[in-house]
Amino acid sequence: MADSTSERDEHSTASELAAWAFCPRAWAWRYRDGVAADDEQLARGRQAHQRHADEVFQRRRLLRWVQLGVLVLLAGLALAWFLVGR
Amino acid sequence: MRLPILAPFLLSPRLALAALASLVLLVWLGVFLYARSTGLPISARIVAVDQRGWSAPARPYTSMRYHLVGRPDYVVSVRGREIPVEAKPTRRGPVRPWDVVQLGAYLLLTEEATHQQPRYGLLVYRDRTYRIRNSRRLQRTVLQALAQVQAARAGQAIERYPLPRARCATCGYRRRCRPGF
Repeated sequence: MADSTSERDEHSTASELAAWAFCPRAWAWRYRDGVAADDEQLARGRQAHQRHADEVFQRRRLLRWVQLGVLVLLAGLALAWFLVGR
Repeated sequence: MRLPILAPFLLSPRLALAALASLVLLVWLGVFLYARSTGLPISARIVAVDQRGWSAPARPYTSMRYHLVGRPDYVVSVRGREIPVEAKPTRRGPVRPWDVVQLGAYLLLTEEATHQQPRYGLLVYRDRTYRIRNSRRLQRTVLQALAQVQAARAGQAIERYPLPRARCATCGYRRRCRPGF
């Protein structure tokens, strides 16, 4: 998402290149003149990124537990299948 | 009233077990699709994330060669190779060229940090995930943008670059840049 300000003192950042590719004047406002963009827009972006990361990890965790449960259940069902056949 | 529906299962326990197994698999499929809808490939392991509260915090990649630094939103490992992921969770397709430039910069940085060239990077939008090929053309575009940024930082006038007016509506500086917008 955003690369920190201390890192860009000597180096260009990847997000700086994106700003340049978007519009050189927007780049100049933000990175050369140090003018903050629309705060609301920035905050919305940050929240969306945090929410996305939360969703990614929570859903992956849920999937892991469900996979474990499915394996146990299928093993139980296979055993039941075997016992029913006897 | 429900007995006739259940009757085959009661008569054949194996049929009941097969139905139960199908139900379990259906639940698994639903959760799988739910997890996959975040845009990151499920089979890939998340190596780093640029957000608080989760393990595997991202470290910035720094390139002394290009004087470039960056921290991808996610780095995932696919068959032993690290792949940078740029997430734009509020954005829908089509792919924006400036997002591709940012991802291209991460591809350069990842290659230098891991000594392995990623074949592609992932651009995650709200409605779909795009696989962006790490081509020579993309590398050239990124290096060109980098040279222009470095020249502008050194004092080169930016007025020589045309103003992409179609983008003004979504720009966070529109009111400062063009008063009365």
